[in-house]
Amino acid sequence: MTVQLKGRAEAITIQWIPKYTFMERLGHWIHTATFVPLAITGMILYFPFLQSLAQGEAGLFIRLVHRVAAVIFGLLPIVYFIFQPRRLLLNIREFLPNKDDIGWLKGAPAYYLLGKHEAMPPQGRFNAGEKMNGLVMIVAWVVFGITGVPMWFGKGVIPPEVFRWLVIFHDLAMIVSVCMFLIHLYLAVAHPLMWAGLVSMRFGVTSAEYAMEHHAKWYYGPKRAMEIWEAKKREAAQKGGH
Amino acid sequence: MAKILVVDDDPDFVNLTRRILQRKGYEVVTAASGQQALAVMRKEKPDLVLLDIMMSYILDGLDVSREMAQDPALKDVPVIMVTSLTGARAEAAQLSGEYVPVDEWIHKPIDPDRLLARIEDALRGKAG
Amino acid sequence: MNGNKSSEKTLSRREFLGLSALGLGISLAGARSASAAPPTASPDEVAILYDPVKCVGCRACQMACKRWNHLPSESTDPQGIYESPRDLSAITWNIIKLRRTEVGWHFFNYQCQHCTDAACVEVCPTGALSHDPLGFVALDRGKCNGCGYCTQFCPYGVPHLQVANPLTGEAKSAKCTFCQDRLWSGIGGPSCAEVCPVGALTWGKRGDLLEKARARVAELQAQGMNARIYGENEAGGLHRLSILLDDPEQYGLPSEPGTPAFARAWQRVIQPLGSVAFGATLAGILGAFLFVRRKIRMEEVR
Repeated sequence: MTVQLKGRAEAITIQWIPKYTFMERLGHWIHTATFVPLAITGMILYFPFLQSLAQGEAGLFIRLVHRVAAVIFGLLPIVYFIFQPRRLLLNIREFLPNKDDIGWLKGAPAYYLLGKHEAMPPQGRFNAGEKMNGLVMIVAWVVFGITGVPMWFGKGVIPPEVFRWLVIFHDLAMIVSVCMFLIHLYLAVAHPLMWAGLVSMRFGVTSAEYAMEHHAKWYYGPKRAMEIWEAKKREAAQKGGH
Repeated sequence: MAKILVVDDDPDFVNLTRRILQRKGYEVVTAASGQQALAVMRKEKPDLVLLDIMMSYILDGLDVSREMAQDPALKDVPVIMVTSLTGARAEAAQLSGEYVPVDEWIHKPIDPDRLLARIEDALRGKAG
Repeated sequence: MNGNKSSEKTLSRREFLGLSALGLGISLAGARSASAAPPTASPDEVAILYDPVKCVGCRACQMACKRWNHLPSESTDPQGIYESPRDLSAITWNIIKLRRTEVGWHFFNYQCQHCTDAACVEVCPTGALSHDPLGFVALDRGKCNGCGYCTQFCPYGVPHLQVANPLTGEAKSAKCTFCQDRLWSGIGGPSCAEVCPVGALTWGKRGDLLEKARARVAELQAQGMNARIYGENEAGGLHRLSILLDDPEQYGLPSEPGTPAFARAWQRVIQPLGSVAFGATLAGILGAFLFVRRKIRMEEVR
């Protein structure tokens, strides 16, 4: 995108757009750095075939790692809120579902598996897949906190019947969030079309061309993004006709 | 003194800029999005517009600038674009398909003295 | 697209088979535990029989347990009541409680019931709690990592955590072990049963003890008491058999203990569910990647 200055011979080309602030990125990576040890240590306690790793001194250490990571994991959104409350609330709002998501769901197989660019309607700053990831992680954080804290301090204090429910929900949250994490990891690292995702989370900027394609509503605004998409579909239909 | 419209969705930037301008004696009105900016412009008729690019969407500011150029009532109002978009690189002028007319371009974080100087230049240019 | 013939096939046969095997393998590895059947008690296994009618409340059993297992005494305040300490704990594995009824005061001994189908064994993530071949529920404190699940799933509230540090979670589970070390080394049987001066607590082969219990119940019923055996079939058969003169609830015992449905749901449904979910996700991702690799050329990506 080029911008020319009136009455002057200069023009300015935009290549990189700021997408993630420092706090957003730091939060993301600290979240990753705590989520992974939590998942691994949790799974050692969860799967019977990993039993030998959970025993004795090793087991005590694993539980300790789980708790240390859990404290950081739990405090992170609170610290984020203290430093950039507006940004955090904006992010939460951006994760909420809207009409665009239905379009994404319909177009996802053709787009992600077959690479048909015209199949995907324009998306905002976060597409439906990213929203699902964000919402799953937020809900999981809440569930882990509500179940984990009593599991840590509540033995003998809360009734065993309640404790058993906590374990079940802790497990379910783990299953869902780890599966989500695996998919997220794949799309962030391995999928050819998603290359700018990791760049933006590391450096805070995304390429303008990438945003034009993948987050057209965020880039062009809702009206123009739809116009561009209609044109793209017409073009693809014509090509297909031949 | 002249009236300046400050357009930005970041309340901190708006407050800071308003304080700088008011201390210099300018009258300040504000808007937080492209749509709001055009409405305020038509009502308040500012002498200059300080325009952020990324607001409700990335090209929001540019769309505002383009609309202003097409509106006879607004096309002569000087526009200073303020942005944090990086990777900006001056190159030899070629009118591209995305030609957007602005008078000045300034990067965030702004230097107050440079901002005030540019505003003076732009206002003088208009009057002259 | 200017692709050659091989790009038309999005997933080779070999890749497809490999993927299916991977997904299936991971799912099955976890699901294996879902199919194991609960154990049942055998008459040759050891057991303890408790006859409260003979019990005089001397608490020799409590003392012998403390002595053999080197357990410290609880610090208690004198409250002018008979029970002291009041309940099982991490350092009290055997206790006599007092039951007051209309017809009189009765003593009752509480300890681990050594269930055949034990909830604590089911939920223990380290295998520290296990069903010993001799019949009782053994505890290997070395393997225990202090998670405390056993304390939350036992229907009798028997295991207790000896907590070294509540913040780091350093703890060990503690409960009556049937004097596992005495049995394994051949010294003898549980100290409590061997020391009882009136023969209220005895131990031996479960089959023999059940016969003895049935005879005793018949004898007591002839005297007009509402006697019955507790532990013959509960929880797959307990290895601590008791003769009750009333409903189990009157003694604070559950009439249908078993492994709580939750414990079973946890081990046999949710854990395999996790394996299946992960296996399917990994296989799906791998499949999608191999599929996509053929279809999307990196050069076309902007």
